[in-house]
Amino acid sequence: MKSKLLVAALVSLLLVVAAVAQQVKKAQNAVITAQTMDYDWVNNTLDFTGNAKVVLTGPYDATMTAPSLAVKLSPQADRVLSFVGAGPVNFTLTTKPDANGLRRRIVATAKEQATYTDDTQIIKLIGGATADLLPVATTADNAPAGEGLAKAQAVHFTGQTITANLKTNKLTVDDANLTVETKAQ
Amino acid sequence: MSKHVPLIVVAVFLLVTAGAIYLGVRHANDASDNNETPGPPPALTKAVQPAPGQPTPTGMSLEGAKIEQRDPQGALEWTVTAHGDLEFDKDSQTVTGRNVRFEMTDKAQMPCLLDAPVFRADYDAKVLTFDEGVTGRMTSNSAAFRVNHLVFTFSTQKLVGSGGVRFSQGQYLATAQNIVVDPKAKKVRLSGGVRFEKRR
Repeated sequence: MKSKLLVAALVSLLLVVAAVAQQVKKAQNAVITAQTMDYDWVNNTLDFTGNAKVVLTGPYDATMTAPSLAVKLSPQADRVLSFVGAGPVNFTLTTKPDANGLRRRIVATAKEQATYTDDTQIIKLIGGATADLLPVATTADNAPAGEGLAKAQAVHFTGQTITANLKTNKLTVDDANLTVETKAQ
Repeated sequence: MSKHVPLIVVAVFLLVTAGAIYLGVRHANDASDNNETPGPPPALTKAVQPAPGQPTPTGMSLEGAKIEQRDPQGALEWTVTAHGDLEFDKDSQTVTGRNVRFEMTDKAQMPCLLDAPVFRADYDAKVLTFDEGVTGRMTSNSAAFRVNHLVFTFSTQKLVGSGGVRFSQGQYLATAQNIVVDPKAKKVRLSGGVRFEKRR
């Protein structure tokens, strides 16, 4: 029974990550705001400090805030190669509706830092990482369907590091702790 | 009465007459200059040169409508070229001009070009001021910027600008209130409500 729940939980998480990955492939607009921006001529890097905030809009909406954010541009300055948000980092993302029409909000935090690498498409939340998967609609008519985590009202992860690989659709939680909240029948 | 007296009188008379003629001719020339109809502005006009014997600021030379600044070893640091007049005021030790191009040479770590409608060099304060909408671009890559007001300080070699900053690099555009271009550190700092996004 326990292994069934674990398998269902993993499948559900993969579906969520897959949904995010599919959305990442489409055009996404990103705006970074901060108090200051330092552009390093030699390394082609940008350092944002003072309430750094990244707002992604498009197929999905996401926001990341951090005291500072370091961005590495490609040599042609036509794309972001990677970024590192220095902690505490807060990250929220609202997924597109899944097969059951349910949208989920991912609210994640990391005490140390959050990193993203474009080549690997890996997002890492490092140091006291937490993530909450919450259904956006909470009415009874729109209650989560399916089994396991797909049916859960809310899922709360904690771990030393949470890694989301958008290429392989895998979510890895190191030193994990999982809390699942389901609605009583 | 001495026989030399009439000669002295004649000599004095001649001197007075010559002086009057000189003053008359000079006055006529001045009036002619003032009434001269200005022609179309030349593309590159001659700068007002310091008076002979008047010392120019250290390292500075004015030639045509161009200012050059050299370091103590004689290496060219930067130039300002005007598409209008450059005027040197010896009293205030300033040079003013319009529609200028400022060029930092390769001696700078981060050479760049500036174009500005209004220019002023203050050799007492040792700063160059560019106004009324300055555009700049780095000659070593594709970075460019716009700012309302910009000051170049001789000692730090920094460009410090304020107002309506737009900085672009490759596909990205950043806007802010202030900009500092630091060639020695090879860095550009934007501050005050920074917004950075990909150009559409």
